[in-house]
Amino acid sequence: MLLFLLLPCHAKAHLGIVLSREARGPFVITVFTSSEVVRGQAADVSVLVQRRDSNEALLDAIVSFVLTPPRGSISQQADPICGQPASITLGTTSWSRDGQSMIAARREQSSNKLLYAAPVNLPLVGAWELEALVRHGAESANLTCEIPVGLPARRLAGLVPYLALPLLLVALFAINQWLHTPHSKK
Amino acid sequence: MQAILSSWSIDPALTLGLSVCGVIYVRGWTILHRLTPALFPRCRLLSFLAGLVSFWFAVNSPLDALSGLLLSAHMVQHILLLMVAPPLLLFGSPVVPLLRGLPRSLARDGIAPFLHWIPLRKMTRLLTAPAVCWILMTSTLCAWHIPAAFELALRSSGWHKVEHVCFVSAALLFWWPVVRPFPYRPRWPLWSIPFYLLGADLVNTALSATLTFSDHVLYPTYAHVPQLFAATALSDQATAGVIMWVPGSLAFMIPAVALAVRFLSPTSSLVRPGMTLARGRASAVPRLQAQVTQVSAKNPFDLLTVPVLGNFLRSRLSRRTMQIAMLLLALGVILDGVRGPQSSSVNLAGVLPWTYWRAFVVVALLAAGNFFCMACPFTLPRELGRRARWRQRPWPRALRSKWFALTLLVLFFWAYEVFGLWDKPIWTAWLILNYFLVAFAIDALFRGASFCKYVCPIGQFQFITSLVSPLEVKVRSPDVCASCKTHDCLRGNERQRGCGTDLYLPRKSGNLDCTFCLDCVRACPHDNIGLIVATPGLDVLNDSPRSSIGRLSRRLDLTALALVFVFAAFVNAAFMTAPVALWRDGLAARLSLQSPQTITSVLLLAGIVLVPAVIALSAARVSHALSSVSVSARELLCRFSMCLVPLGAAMWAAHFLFHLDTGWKSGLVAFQRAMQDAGVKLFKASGIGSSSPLVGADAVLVTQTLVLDAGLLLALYLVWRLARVYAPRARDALRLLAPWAGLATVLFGFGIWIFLQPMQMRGVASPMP
Repeated sequence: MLLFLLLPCHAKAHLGIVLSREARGPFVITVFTSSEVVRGQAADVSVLVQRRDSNEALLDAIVSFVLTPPRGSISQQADPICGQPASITLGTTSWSRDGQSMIAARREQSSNKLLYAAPVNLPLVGAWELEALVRHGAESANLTCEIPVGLPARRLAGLVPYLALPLLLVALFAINQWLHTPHSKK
Repeated sequence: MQAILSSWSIDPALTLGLSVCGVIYVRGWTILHRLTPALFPRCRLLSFLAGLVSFWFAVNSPLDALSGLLLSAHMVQHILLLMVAPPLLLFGSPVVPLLRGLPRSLARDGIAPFLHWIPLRKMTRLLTAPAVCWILMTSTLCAWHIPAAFELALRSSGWHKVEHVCFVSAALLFWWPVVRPFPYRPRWPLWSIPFYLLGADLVNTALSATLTFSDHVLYPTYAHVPQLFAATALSDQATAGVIMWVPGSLAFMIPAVALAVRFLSPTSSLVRPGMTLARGRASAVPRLQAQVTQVSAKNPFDLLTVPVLGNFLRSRLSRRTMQIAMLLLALGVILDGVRGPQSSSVNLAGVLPWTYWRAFVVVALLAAGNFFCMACPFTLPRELGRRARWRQRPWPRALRSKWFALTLLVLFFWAYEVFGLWDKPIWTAWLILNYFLVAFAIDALFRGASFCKYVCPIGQFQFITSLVSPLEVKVRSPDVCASCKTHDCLRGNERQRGCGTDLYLPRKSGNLDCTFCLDCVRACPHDNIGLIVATPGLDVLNDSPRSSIGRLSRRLDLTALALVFVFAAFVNAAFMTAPVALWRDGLAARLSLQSPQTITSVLLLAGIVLVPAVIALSAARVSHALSSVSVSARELLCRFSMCLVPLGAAMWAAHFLFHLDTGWKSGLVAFQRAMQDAGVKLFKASGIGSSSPLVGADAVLVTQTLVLDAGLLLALYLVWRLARVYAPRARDALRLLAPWAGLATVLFGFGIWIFLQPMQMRGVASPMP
């Protein structure tokens, strides 16, 4: 019983979705994101950098992301009321200008230590442009792709199991109390 | 390879849950092993723990990180979940040890009725029928290997959860007739089980052969992810097929052969269902039950008997040390509040009290007891006052209630919101300084701990929260107290003062007015007072006369305190949400007010004083009218209002944990800055960057919801128990409790709405690396 209750705590959609995978310069760069990126919630963006010739994963590259908001939108940097800190990122921001931000991606921030990851919190709905910059020694390459950010309509939906828990326990308690009565023995 | 091996994704909730499961099992197994070592040998314990570890390993180890890139790693994970963890868990015969490991009352009153419930027994019998188990396992295995279903689980976390639940539940059922955990009675003869396993192996072979020999990639996700180790997606798929085929088949074949050998061995007779094996085990059940009931109930847990910690808590010096440590922190807050920058997120006066102290106080109260009153620095000046030997008077009789302290608590909530105390370090500093002065003045002029009992608003907050604490200062043996003539716990003696809040321990109940100072423990010449475990919240059901408090049903001041405590929890959090802030500002603009302070004052006072009074009075009247019990509506008001305290405590905890999570780095920033200002460079120079929460927003939301769930459930349970006190018939009890249960549910819904709103960030800052 306990195992069933605990299982949902863990299971997740592995690495998320592959946003883009291309051979660039001497590397093959693959960008992953959480399966659902929604406005105002933390999401993981991660990158796997491999050597083009051997598919070997590079673990000592320098990876950073440049995030550009959807065209025509204005980032609300100074908004004091928000679900997360006023910056658009949760990771380490190197610079931020005109709504664009550069974030360092690190292997320590990823549960899969082959990947370079940075948690981001994108405050606007729309197609964000993500440019992954990779540098390894004297070699460098970049890969640009789009992250579709949706509305956080599913936040309440994610809570349904935890909201159903009191109902379930109250129902079980009601049955328990009924089983203590003489009627239940009939 | 090193990177792969370090890719652990340890889930704290799962790890904690499995640890709790393991502890319950070990506790139960230890008792059962002592009673019947033949039925519960050591191998059962080892097997169960190995099952838990393999389950944990499957979902926390690098396998999980790799399974998104390699189908073969994913397959190993599934083999562990389907064919390794479930049989190991079942071999531990977990049902009886887990039941025995639970608290006795929970197992007897909570779970035992279900075990005897005939519809549930019928359903269990149906589900554990070998044919049903076989069909469920094989159909689950086939269904989830259909490419569309497998892809769905890879892409969606929700469906991935469903997949894992299906696998583990089907596997536990499948291995049930094979392992036959005690006290299961076999339904199929032993000779049939090898065929049962071989049948499942055929299905497994067909699936694995499909994977191994397919000439195209069956699951498109693996064709698009990067390939590791120079392996192609197709070769990875073939490897996954081989893993499923060979170790998977071995998992079926080894028990099949073992059972066949056992069946064919000369010592084994033809076992028919429900015979030999079952008969032997069945006869063990009543014997075991009889032995288990003979085990006498142990003394309840007493924290003061724990080696080292118990002595530490008893020592007067250790309390003084804690108080001095808190005093130094308070002085730091005052100094920084007055002299430091007036930005709350980088000032000790903005961070220490409002981000850390509040959260730690509530967590300590809910997890243990009122230890922050024990370490309170405000009572240190009391000692100075006492040493001044001024003439001390008794606290004025007219003020011997909670009304004065309650008024101060309401004023505090009002000032906090209207003047934004959290964002004004200098105001916080002055507040703390004045707190010291008032505590000194009152305790210097009046006897005992008058300040704690009748004045301190923080103390009242903590007294009310400690109704839900799991520890209580209590006498160990009432018989010893019955023969005591000196009553040192109350009066004190030449070595030690007695209780400052006038609590006579034999007639003390619960934690109300108890500051955990442990003076009574030190004063008792019989060493008869402990820090004893108590069921959280149950104290509110007790209406017997309490020392220095009286009956709860006659204390309107305590009722008002409880209601303010509960409603303030929700109102205080609601004021931080964007919709409420916007609505308040809009209302101020419509009324042409220059500042929203007036509106805030009106709304806040209405929310924590007027609304609770009106709602609780209405609930008491409706409750009285519906149930027609012989007690007054006032008594119902006083007693049922106290039952809402767990919900309020849960809301405070959920709210403060949010701030602790989002501002957990702020303390370091403020300390670093304060040190730099003082000319002490402990760290490298650093700036202040954006904060990253300790855990993600989703995890915080789930934690907050679970905390509020616990508060609601405890409140509803107390309401039900109290209703049964007044109305022994269930129907009458339901009428009596309906308004209170409805009120608790509405507050719970309001709390969830608050959690879902954008929240104002208070005191957030973090260092740049």
